[in-house]
Amino acid sequence: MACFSPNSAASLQGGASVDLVRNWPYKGRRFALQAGNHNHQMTDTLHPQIDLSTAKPLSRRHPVKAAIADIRSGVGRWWMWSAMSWQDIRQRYRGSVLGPFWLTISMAIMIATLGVLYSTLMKMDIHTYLPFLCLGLLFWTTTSTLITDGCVVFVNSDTIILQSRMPLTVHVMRSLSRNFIIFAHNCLVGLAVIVIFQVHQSLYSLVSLVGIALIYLNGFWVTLLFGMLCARFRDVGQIVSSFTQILFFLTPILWHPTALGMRHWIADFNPAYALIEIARAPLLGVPISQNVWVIALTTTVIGWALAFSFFARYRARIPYWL
Amino acid sequence: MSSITLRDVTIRFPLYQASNRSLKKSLLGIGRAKLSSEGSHVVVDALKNVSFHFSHGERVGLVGSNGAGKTTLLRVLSGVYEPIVGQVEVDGHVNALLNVNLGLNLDATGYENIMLRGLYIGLHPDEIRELTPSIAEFTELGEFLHMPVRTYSAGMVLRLAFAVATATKPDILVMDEWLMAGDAQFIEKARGRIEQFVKQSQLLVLASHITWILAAVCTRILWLDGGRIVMDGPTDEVLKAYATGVVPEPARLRALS
Repeated sequence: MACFSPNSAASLQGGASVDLVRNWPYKGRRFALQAGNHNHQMTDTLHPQIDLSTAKPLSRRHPVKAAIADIRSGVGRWWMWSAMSWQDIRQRYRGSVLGPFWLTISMAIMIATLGVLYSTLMKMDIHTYLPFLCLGLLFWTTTSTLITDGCVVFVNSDTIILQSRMPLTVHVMRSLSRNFIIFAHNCLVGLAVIVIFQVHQSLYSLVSLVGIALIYLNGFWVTLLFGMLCARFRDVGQIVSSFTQILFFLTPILWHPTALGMRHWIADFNPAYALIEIARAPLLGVPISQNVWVIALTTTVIGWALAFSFFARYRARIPYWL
Repeated sequence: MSSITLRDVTIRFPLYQASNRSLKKSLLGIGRAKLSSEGSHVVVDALKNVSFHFSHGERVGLVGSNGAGKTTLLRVLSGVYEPIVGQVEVDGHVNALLNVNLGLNLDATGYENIMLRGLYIGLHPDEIRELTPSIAEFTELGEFLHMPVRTYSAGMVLRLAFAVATATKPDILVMDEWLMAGDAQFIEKARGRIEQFVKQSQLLVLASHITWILAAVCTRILWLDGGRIVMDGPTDEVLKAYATGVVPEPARLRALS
């Protein structure tokens, strides 16, 4: 077969036969714009032998579908994010014998110190105050690290995001899973306090698992939303960490919500309190008020809707921001 | 059959100045938006109406000065940037080697980095464990693999990265020019591996400034400038034109159309 050369003068003057052009494997479209010279219309601008049946278009998917696909396949790659998060833990505690238990120990020391100090300051019985403080701090610590880690989830993974195509949700799950591993280590302190202070446990205590699940379910949308915002606006991280600090003092962790008296609305409308309370109250044998459930579930639904709509709208833009 | 098709792909980057990067300033700016006539959105077209088809077995080189759009194009091919205008169709699994330091943890050992990098390019931990012996062999790093990567030379890091990235047989390998940092012996070996790669009827896209590498490896060259394809053709033709900086008339006609 004669060779077709698009650069030759003959071709450009319309000398090439239609068959030669049609069998020419390269740059169909670009050439097609010139194919008018040959008075031949190439409707499918590509080489006829090119099989595109298995080709996956990367664009032109509906953004909502693309976002759902991202979340589904991102969560589904559990082997990827779990291995990454373990690697994170291993790297963070390289060279220390105790590993993540360093955090556990520092938490135990903090709880012991604060427990003694604040039970004196607030004139409360240490047997009731310390378990309350311990469990509150345990759940707050994981909540607040979920928020602050969420802010850097995409920014810190920029080299990976800019290098290969993988669901962005993988990075979110990596952050959640890393925090969960640390949380699981810290749970030992909670367990020790429950045993030492003989806090009575019953079947009702299992409701705490629902609370923990809710914390992580909310952690997901927080990570996704704040991760995107921080990728676009680099000062969001600082704003968020200031607000997280304020939130800590506004949330009944160091103090008991009953101490608010008439101003109980401060706790009533606090989503962080609602989430922590559902995890904490069952372990202390305290009933959970209906209001707490309403706030927790509303936060979950609204947060997910907000984060998802942002994600659907801006998912493809995230690499451009990094 | 691996193939890549781009149809009129345009990649537009918003250029954020420091003030656009700040939420506080953006919010404060809402009230004054009407006052400042200058639009805060400065955009740059990193790629403009790029169309081509790379087919099975081709080894394509990308040339062009800095800022010509080579890296952006590689990122489009690896699916990182989804185009605003145009269409990208990729048939086959893409493995991109754009950044030698991808996920490299200096404190982790060579073996741990093999695992990390493998995860980042989408391999299952079991697969990585299975591949580790052959990767270790290719790197020729021996006992160094038990040492933190901090102790490695740049060339050693490169070997490690290249070995992991090419350990599996991705259908399409997309590579930036960092490959050329290795010593002569390694480049020879890397070329051997790339040759082997292409022989298995895969597709390679390589961006580089070093023309002799391109001449040795590639069958087709795309010359980019300012986000457009200036010339697209067989290696020797394009490289000759690129060296002189003069685009042959027919090719220019084509590029302008």
